[in-house]
Amino acid sequence: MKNFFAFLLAASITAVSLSGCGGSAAQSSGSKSGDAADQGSAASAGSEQASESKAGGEFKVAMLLPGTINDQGWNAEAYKALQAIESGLGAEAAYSESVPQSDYEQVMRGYASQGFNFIVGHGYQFSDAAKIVAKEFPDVDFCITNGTETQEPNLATTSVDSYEFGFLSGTVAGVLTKSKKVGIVVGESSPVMNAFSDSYLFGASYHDSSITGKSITAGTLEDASKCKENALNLIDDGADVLTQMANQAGLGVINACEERGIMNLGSNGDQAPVAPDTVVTSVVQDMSKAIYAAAEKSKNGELEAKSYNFGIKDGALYLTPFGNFEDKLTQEQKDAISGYLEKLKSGEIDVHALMGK
Amino acid sequence: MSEKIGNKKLGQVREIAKPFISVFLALLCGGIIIEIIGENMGNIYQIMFTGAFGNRINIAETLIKSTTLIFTGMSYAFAYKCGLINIGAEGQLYMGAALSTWIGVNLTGLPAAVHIPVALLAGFLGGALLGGLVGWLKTRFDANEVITTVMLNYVAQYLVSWLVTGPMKEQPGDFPQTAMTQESAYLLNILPGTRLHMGFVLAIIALVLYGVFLWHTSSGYEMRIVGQNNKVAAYAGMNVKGNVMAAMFIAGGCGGLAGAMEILGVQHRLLQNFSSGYGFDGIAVSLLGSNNPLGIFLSSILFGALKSGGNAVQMFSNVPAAIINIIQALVIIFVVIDLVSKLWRKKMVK
Amino acid sequence: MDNFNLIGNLLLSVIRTATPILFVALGLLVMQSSGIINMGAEGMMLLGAFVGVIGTYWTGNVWLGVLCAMAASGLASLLFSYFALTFQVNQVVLGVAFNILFGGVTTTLSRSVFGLNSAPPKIDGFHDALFGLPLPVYIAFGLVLAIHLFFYRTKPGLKIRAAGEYPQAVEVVGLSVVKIRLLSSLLGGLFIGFGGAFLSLGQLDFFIENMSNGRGYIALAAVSFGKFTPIGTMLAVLLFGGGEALQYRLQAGNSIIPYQFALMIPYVMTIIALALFIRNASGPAALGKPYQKSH
Repeated sequence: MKNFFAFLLAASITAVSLSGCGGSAAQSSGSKSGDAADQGSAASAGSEQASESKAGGEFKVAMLLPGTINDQGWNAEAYKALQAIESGLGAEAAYSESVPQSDYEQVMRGYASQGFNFIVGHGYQFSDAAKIVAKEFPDVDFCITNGTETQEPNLATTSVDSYEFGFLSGTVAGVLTKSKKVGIVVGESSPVMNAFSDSYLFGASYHDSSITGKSITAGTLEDASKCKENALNLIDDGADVLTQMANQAGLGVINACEERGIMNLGSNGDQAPVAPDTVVTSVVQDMSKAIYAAAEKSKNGELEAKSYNFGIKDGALYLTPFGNFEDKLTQEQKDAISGYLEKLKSGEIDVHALMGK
Repeated sequence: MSEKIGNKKLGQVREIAKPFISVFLALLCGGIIIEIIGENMGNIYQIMFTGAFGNRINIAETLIKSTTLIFTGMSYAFAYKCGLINIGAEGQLYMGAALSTWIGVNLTGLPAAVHIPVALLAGFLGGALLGGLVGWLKTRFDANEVITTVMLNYVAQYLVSWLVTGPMKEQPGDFPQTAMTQESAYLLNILPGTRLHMGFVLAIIALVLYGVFLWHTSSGYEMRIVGQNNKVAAYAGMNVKGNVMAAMFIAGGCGGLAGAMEILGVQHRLLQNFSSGYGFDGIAVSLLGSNNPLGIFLSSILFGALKSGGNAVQMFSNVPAAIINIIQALVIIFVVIDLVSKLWRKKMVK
Repeated sequence: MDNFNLIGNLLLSVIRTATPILFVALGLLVMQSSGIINMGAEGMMLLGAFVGVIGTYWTGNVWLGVLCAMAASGLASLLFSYFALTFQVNQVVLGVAFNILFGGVTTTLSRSVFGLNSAPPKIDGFHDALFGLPLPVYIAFGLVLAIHLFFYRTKPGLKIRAAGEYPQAVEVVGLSVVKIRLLSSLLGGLFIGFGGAFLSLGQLDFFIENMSNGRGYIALAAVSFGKFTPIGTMLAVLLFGGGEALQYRLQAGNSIIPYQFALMIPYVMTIIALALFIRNASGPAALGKPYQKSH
């Protein structure tokens, strides 16, 4: 216990002394430090990190993520968007990953007070914090992805249509299934995942009302093994086309499909590289379209406090090429799939009207 | 004679210097990692320190985290003092949060002076019921509390997930979250311009009560005897089962209050997975602080500072969250192994 | 026939779910029997999962990968006990720190080796060997028997148990408690590493961040549940695996219960079984207590 009397002091003094000596080192090395940072992170964390160096432009963008940038899903897509903003808009970009819920406000306020111009909270759960912080910093633009609440003058939302997303995937699954059974594994109950799952099942039965579908919530976004086991159970049950939305844990579903030799539909990003002979096509939800558009508006001072929505017709949702399945699918199947794409694009099929959502 | 006094003084200096050196060594080790990934150690620690203590707002953020940690730490410590290993603060935190949210949302028209205490009590009860369940399983069925608390953590989290997607879901609304609590249930702010709430004061009061109860009352004494050796306690005519029950109930209540702090003081509505592992951090807070009030207080500040500073490092540098975790782990390890005093002791023996 | 399939699939599911936890639980059992309580199993398992993939990726051989994983976790476990024994620190708090440490280490290394935002590299993991299950499954269950014999039929096994139960007695006959505990930790760490590697190489063919997802804690509970015996531990793990399999089955079937309640099943089942059938599950007398040599 005695060790603890001086704990606070200890932490503070050591930190000060370390930062003191380091500070002078940084000054003496001057311009070099930036290069060193680039090289070091390139070596350690892939080239992506290198582009993170905080140099350059006046337009500063910050992003708060609920998970890790490497999750192969929701957060990874946002990170891609951030990179696109950095290169496309010449913005200075920063991010915080796996931000705990109780720290949303602290982190947002931190960015806002450090002169960031555009702050993205990646997910509906950031809405409350954004509403508070946006009031304190009227000159900073805030944007919540897939949120619903906006606030004058500086809080907007931007989203990719989760219902079109799931519906498109569901119709493709409907076209592909032979056993008339399709399945989906989602990570948890969230607005995006629920909407995706509901409209996936709806889309499959829209194609053919005799198709039955089943949705399982795995209760995890990290445990790929658990998702795999869920998928195996669906396959044992007769499903022959599966899709997933559980971030990196969803990779377990693809793994299960590969092992049992059934077809899988990728989601979020292009998942064909994971298993080219299993993933027929991926329905890409291009978050960078949605976030980039909002950032661009913010940069030009045009961002309004409203909800920006993007869907198939905006190119924010699309199918990747069939790859190894180019020769395996019949022309009929391909025509059916592109038929749905066209109808969704033209608005002939209105998913929201059909589903009453 | 004078030589002896000199030795004693030297000893005191060493006692005070030890934790400095431990933290310093840990930060130095972490610094090497920071340098390896190509960042400047001094820069990063400057950001970290500023993020934790640099200004009013940051100090407040550090203390807010400490508040929750004090309660989860006490949850572990209270059970520990009665000889129980309570890994369940995380689950108790979830239950406490759920119940205090329910009171916070559904009781309307109350003045804050009534609403806040009732909501806090609900939070306490939420955790205490879960803790009490563990105590009941222990005393009635002799069920090992390590197992039951580990398992109940999952149960509580799934239960909250169900509550916010089902019965407690905000109406109308699409999101898995409850409605906002009434403003009358917001914990009062105690440092204008920051988020610091009265929970911090409550936490300190709770720590004092904890200390007074365990070390200055006969019931507390009895509880500690049961913790040290329940056979002896039973032989002395003490009610072992009753004490175990009471300890788990109160420990659970502390965990529940941690959840109430998060909801009533910080988040103001309940979402699934809203905790960032405060329950597990509480174990380290408690043990690092030797389970006594001052120790828990100081180690909660250390942990709060590491979290708060870690956030800042993520925000304003290229150091990823994973590296910050490594540094935090190093600090715990270096402090707990207390290398310095071991080395000094060896020297003295020689 | 349909029912036959159903039961067969269910059993396979139980065993698949149980195997990685069983490896870790057996590792913990060896450690705990000698008097070391290792709360850091979660992190060490994660380390094994990562090193197993890296090892396989670099050597091209899955068994070499497993060896790497075992070595890594074995060393981590040895380090843990070295700290715990020579510095006499609280083992629970040290375990918590190790979990945080290896969570950070594996994430950092995995990003630096495999990069960001790319599909995890394909490696050739374990294939089904017998009755639709890969070889390590049989090794895991074989280990149960091996450890049982080792504990109750051999002198070294007796020494390990004695170090956990009556450390003073061990010292009296001229053996070193510290040495026995260190060796037990090394041995236990090897098993924990295998468990991690099975998660990444046996069940999947890749590593992802935090993939152990609480299995280390479940394994810890399983050892107590099994009353610190190999067979009991195995039964506890199988019970938990059974609950999980049932949960998977329920969700895949036409169930109307909210998914959260399905997910609770294995945990609730464990508590009920513990209360009704196991009852007293106290561990070795000197568990978790630092040992100070009497001079």
